[in-house]
Amino acid sequence: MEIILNYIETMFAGVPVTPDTKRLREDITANMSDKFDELTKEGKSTNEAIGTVISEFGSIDEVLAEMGIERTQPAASAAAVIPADPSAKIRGMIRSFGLLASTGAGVLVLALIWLSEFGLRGYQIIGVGSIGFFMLLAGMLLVIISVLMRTKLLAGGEPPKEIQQIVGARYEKVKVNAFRLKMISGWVKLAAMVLFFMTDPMAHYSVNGTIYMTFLMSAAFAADVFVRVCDRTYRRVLGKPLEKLTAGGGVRALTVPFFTGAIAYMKFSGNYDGLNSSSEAGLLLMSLYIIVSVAAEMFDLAKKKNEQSAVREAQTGNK
Amino acid sequence: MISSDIIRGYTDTMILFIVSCGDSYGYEISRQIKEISDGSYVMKETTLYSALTRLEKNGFITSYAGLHDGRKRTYYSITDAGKACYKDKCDEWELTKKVIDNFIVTDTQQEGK
Repeated sequence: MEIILNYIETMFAGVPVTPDTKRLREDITANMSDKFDELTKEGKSTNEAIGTVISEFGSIDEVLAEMGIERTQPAASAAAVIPADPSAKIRGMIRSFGLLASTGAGVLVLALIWLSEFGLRGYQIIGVGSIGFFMLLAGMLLVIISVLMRTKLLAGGEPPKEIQQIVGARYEKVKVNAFRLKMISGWVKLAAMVLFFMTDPMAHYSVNGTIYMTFLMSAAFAADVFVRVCDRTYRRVLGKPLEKLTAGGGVRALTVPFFTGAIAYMKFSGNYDGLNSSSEAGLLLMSLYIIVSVAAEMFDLAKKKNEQSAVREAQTGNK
Repeated sequence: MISSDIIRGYTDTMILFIVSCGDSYGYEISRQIKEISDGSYVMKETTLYSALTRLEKNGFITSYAGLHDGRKRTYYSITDAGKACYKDKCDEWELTKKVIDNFIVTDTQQEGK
């Protein structure tokens, strides 16, 4: 319906508002709405119905000539009004604030490690360290803008049914890409941890491992946030229930904050003379975390198997 | 499809016929035109309203505001002048048909020659 209303809006652009034209516009809007409703009730697709309704509009100049009214602006072309894909606007918005939130989150992780590496060790607060503070502010700003944008979109309520349908069809494609991105992000996180353990704790004054890990972890975290924010917003827009959080999923979501936190702690309290008590504690925490995450994944897997066998039993019981 | 040039002279007749059966509003009129013509003529939105404007200006129909299904509508009813005009239009068509028929050769007549 929004497209039809936009179409009418454009067709009436430059038509002087008089009691006659106002009534004409109201009547035509009501007629086109009726026609659209009837066509969709007959089983026509939304796009087909919109096409038919618009093609049966005619030319406003015909009526204006009869009314003796002259338009103040040349007529707009119909092609300008009908977007190729009416869901593009919503999808574009979801993508853009997903990107904002994920960039913000990535910058925040980067800032945290940067600060622990260069900033908080006292002697470089002004200088390299201050870059970390700027990053912290920039990251927070990006996240806040993204949250505000999302709130604004969702405050508009659910979009019209016909646009919802198109968004829904697109969401199926988006889910496939989201799954791929999640897989890649998982491997990147693993690579980051391996790199860190291989290079950093063993090397005196070497920051290579931390730097690699920082960038990889930030990128992976940004990808996670992107997938999550977009998915949740799509679900809200489509009026679908949000995905249930699994044990493994919960632990996985905490990976990056946990690891960056642990590393920040090690860097902050460690004195770079190789392994000391705080870095040992950090390493111990990380190892514990890996054990917990493996346990959580196994728990999920076992639960899934149980559910599946219960379904199977129920099915055989029916026979 | 019928060309709109040909049918233009008779949109008024169609509308007058429909409102003479009872008061009606925009969508209802165009729906009935489609139905009565068996779907072979669909009147464009703006053609309908330019005809309605013309008919009202000439005093053949009058309009009043109404409500249908919660939407604001303008209802149209036929006047006595409108009924007379419809009658004239019907006579005119009968004559036109007779005249034009003389110039029309159908397929069966062609085969006979």
